[in-house]
Amino acid sequence: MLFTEPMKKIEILVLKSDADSVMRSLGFAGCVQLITQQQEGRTPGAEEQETAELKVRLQSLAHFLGMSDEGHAEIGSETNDRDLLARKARLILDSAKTLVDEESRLLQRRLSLKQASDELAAFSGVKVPLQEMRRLSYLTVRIGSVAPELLPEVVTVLGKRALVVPLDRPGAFMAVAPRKGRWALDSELSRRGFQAVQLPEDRNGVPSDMLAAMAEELAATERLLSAVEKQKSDFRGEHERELAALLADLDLSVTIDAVKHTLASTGSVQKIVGWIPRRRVPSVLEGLDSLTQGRIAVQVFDPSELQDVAAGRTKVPVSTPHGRVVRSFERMVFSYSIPLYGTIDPTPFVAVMFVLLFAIMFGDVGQGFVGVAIGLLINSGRVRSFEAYRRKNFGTTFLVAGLASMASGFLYGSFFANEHVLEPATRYVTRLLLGRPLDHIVALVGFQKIILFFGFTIGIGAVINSVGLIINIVNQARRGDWEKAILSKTGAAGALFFWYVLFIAVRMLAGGHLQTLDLVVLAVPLLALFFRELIVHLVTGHRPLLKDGLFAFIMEGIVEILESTIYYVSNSVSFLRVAAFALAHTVLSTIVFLLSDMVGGAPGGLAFRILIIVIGNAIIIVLEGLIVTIQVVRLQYYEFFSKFFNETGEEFSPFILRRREVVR
Amino acid sequence: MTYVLDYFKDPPPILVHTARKLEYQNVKSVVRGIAHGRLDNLRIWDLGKYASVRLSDGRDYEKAIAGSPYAWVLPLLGTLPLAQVENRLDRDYYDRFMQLARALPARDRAGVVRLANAEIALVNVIWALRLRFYFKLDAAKAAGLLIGGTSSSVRSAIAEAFEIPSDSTDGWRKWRYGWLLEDQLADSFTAPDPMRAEQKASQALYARAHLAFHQNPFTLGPLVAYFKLKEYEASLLGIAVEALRLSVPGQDVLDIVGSG
Repeated sequence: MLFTEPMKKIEILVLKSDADSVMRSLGFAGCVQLITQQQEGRTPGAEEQETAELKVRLQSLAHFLGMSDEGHAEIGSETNDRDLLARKARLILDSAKTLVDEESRLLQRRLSLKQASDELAAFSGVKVPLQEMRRLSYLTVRIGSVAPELLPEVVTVLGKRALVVPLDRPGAFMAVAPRKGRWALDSELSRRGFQAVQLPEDRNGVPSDMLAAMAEELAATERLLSAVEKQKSDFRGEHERELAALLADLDLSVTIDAVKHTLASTGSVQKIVGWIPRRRVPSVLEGLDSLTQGRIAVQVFDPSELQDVAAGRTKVPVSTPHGRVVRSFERMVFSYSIPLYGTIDPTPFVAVMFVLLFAIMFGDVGQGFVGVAIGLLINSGRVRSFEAYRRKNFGTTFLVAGLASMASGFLYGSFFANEHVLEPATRYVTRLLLGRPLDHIVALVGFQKIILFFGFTIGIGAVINSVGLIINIVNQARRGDWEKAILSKTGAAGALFFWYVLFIAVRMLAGGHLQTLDLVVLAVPLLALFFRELIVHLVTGHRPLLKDGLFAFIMEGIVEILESTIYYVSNSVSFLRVAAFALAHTVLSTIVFLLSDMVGGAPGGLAFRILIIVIGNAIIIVLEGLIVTIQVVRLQYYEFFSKFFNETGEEFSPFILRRREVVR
Repeated sequence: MTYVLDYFKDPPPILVHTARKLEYQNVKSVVRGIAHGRLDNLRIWDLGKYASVRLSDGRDYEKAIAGSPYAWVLPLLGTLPLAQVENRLDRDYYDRFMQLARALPARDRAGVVRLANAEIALVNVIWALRLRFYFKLDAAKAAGLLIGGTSSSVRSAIAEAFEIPSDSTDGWRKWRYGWLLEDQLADSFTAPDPMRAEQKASQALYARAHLAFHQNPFTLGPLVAYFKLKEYEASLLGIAVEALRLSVPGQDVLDIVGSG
């Protein structure tokens, strides 16, 4: 499809009792972009609140059972009977309650035992019941620690004033002194950075005995927890699928509720308004009619019928349906800008240009194969860290670019930077096709060939620039902006100037000469650019003819001509980089093999040689692959897109509910 | 001690007050308990009918003190450091004791006052050392924390205790109460240790009370001395019992009470 997809605006009125079914159907169809706006004063109903609450509780249960968050949405019962869902959800929650409570109790117990053990660990060396230490009247006891190296000093300095009993941990001790000696004790201890530990308030008994008992109790608790874990596993085995299905259904309901909040409704009628691709209208309407058994009212509008669209207050969302390959280049276009509705979709052109330019700059059968392998790996979905790239369809980009690189690599005769490995194959093919064997189909050796190659890339640039110009002329003409279509730098005038200059250049390269007629033909588009304002004002009847006076008119005209000339020169010369990077690739490959040859004769040379080839290729693939990609994207952004992207459209963003595997 | 008091139809107030030294300890325990938020497991001495505050039934200690002659202590909690509150109780005990002693007939008064003066002097000296070396106070700030009514010679000795350089072996040796520190004044001496001085003072007071117990027969002097001896012995026994409960070896117990 050359242009963006034709769209329709659709307005649906359904009974509220049918709203969930209709929303589900539209969500599964995934082809309607809803026109939403926050509805003032709308509060969730009891049913909606209950659904949301049940979803949260089931999510907690799934988490409790160790079910991953992914995959819930893959299955569902496809029922929208909320009562039935709620009943099932409560049933499963009730049956898991004992298990949840038991685990919670045991975890609490384990935590409490661990905390108590940690607390008591400081007193593990104390052989006196804690209650005795709390009941001292004549003695003062301090338990705590100083830096281990200070403990002997503490013992010495307290001397006979206090008894110091070292405890199990380094630097920990218990000091006993008469109550009247507590000032001396505290004073000496604080001077040495004593960290006191308070006696646990609620515990009695000898700490070492208590610790042993706690360890036993902890072990018993762990055993019970293991048993609970087994029960959880059994419960999960029995209910996982049902739970996942319920979660998926509730998730759908909650999503639909959230969307419904942004749609207009009355007490019994729900209004659903949105944009839909024209080709999907019949099937969607037929489906909805059958779903609601005719209890539905639908109005479909063409964008041309809508005043808001005509007045430019509303933009029609842009859908550009593509096949797998072209779709993988969508992000490249949309990250720059979105085409306006009804204009030419540049994505297929971008796909072709990207692949072509990449292949010219990065031609190598082996390195291209690495790209193909990476693309296949991403598309296979087997590498979890590549999942985000798979979703964005980047695997296909790698695959296509890799294949193109392999093809151009065959023309260059390069395999993992080696220029000789492919020679037999190339000779065989060229003998077959040309009748005489060649070592390389394209050999970038010799001044003349290199100049020719530079000319070839400028030719590619001319084609790309021309496509950009044509797209702009067509787009502007379709929008009725004839001034931009004809009299602008990137319109027909600019294009005519550019193309005729190319024609003269080709003719002169072929041995021709510049003629007077050439100057006349070149003057026509340049004069059109110069007199643009005057022509437009004459045709439209605008007065005064020269808005800012004659001098400004002349200056602007001259500037416009100069700017247009520079623009086309720079846009053409810019494509020299394609040849330059292709040569850089060849040079880098040569360097890798020169280095490998240099170490080849040394002891263990073969291993070093292989190492250099592997590392060299890795550097070329990563570094040059990245640079070449950036250059291709840059050429497209500045040389191609700049010709026709001068206003941004709105991307079509349909309401999508994931179709799921049905559980019965 | 209460059984001695029971011999009297109307026990002399000085004897009852002497016995109430234990009651002051009870109040101190409660005060500490309130300050630390721990009023369980308090050790309370039961003075029976001679108690002026009912704490032995273990009920609401704070309420009991609020309704006793010690009620004045409660408002001080939270406004003064605990050590100062305990110091106020000590001063109150000795002030009352001296009032009662001075009111005794002449034949009873001589022995009692002599013993009391000796005790108050030593208590003040030890407090002075504590205040200087533990609490880092100077003489002016410490003055208000000492027990009043001591002789001018004791007051000047206490003043000296704040002036002698802490590491001056000669200075402390020449000091009137230098004998309290004589076992500390070795080459490595850097400052007096109030705790060891207190152990010496306690032993000296015990000897003094023992002497007084045999002087001035048929007066209240020997009985007051007897109560003082029991007070000191009870304190040593208390330490010994608690230390044994904590499995502290016997020699260590003797060491930490200064009898090793």
